[in-house]
Amino acid sequence: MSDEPVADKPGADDKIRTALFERLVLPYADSAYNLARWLTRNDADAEDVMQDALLRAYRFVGGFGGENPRAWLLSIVRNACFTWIKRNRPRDMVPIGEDEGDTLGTIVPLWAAEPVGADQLLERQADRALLDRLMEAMPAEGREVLVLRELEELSYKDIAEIIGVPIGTVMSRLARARQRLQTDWQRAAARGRPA
Amino acid sequence: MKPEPHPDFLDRLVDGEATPAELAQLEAHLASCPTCRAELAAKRNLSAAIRQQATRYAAPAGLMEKWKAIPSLPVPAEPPAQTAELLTFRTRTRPAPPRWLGLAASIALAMVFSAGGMHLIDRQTVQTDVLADEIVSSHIRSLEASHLYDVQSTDQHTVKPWFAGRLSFSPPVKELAEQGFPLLGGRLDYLGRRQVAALVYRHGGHIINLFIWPDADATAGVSPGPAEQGYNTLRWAQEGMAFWAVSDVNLGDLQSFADHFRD
Repeated sequence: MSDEPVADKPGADDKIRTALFERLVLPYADSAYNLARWLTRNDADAEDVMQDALLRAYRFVGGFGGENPRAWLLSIVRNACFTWIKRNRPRDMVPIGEDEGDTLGTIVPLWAAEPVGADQLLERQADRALLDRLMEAMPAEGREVLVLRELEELSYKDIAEIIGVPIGTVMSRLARARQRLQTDWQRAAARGRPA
Repeated sequence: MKPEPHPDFLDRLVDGEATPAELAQLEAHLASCPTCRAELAAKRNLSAAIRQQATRYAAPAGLMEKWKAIPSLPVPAEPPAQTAELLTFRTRTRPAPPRWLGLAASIALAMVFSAGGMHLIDRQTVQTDVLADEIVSSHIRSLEASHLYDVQSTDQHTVKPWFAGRLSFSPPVKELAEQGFPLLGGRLDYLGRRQVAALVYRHGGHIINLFIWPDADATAGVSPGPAEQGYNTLRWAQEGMAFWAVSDVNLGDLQSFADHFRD
């Protein structure tokens, strides 16, 4: 996945590069943005990071010789995101499983405010908002594996390549992230339930 | 005493990542462990909930606009100033042009460019996608039906004469083994209703089909055609003939194949 040394050599044909960019990068723009948006947690920052990542992808696409352009692009995006997080949100870098603080303190489930008997649709919207907020409340490392696994539906192997860690690490991060989300979900549900 | 499975084995089950060897062991454990069964159900629930309910963000159109505006290959980086003015003018006077106007604009653009002697948007552009689709289908057919060649030979002096009695034109045949693209053979193929020559080359484990037919109007420079179903295409023209190479090799290798063939 480290194509950087051979990439970006002077005289690389810009036309070929542009064609490669259109073939290998642009089709995965939504995946890339989804990851950037989840890791930065807001649109403005996601767009900045995405801009950087696309620029890098454009510069290095000539050296890409792998088989999975989406994974390649996502690894560029996640690296850009983590650089950004370290600089701007260092508190978000706590490894998943090591922070025991109750980040849920600020989260009030939406359905707590709904009258009993709110219809199905409202309940679904509340669930949706709640899951998004619970996931956003997780440390970045956990959020990353959840997004790559559940929303991008990537294999452990692809995720390991994207993040640059052994598959075993992917497994344990994913297990811890799910464990935590499960706990948070149950806690939020218990709190939101009318007495 | 039952072996205790690794704590994240439930996640591997949810994700379909347990090895067949593991599966038997894990299922045996699950059968006798209600706690793990409940935990597995909870994890599956959570996974489904995320997939169904968590937001999937799409790249904002405003952000992607400028990246999509990087001109595609046959078009130069900057259109001639005159044309740019023309287009700006049109956009300004008609804030929401109907779709056909875009087509009209590209035809106008094509006319401006061809009048200037630049091969930018020729008549074939309209048919290019259809043709690329046919070419890729033909490529796939040749691989699947194991009808890769009618004449199997690594010798250009065998392949070229073979075509002579069968086609109304004589396609150039080159041996490129030294350059890493050994010739495997040739066959007759059809694109649309046209009979074409197909040369078959190999690069590593990949097959390259090179389709050739007479076309006096084909664009001279090498340019990638649309990629279809994961296959790359590259087209060029020489000696009054059109050439389309198609393969699952990466575009860079296909480009180098084209360069050697044109040498």
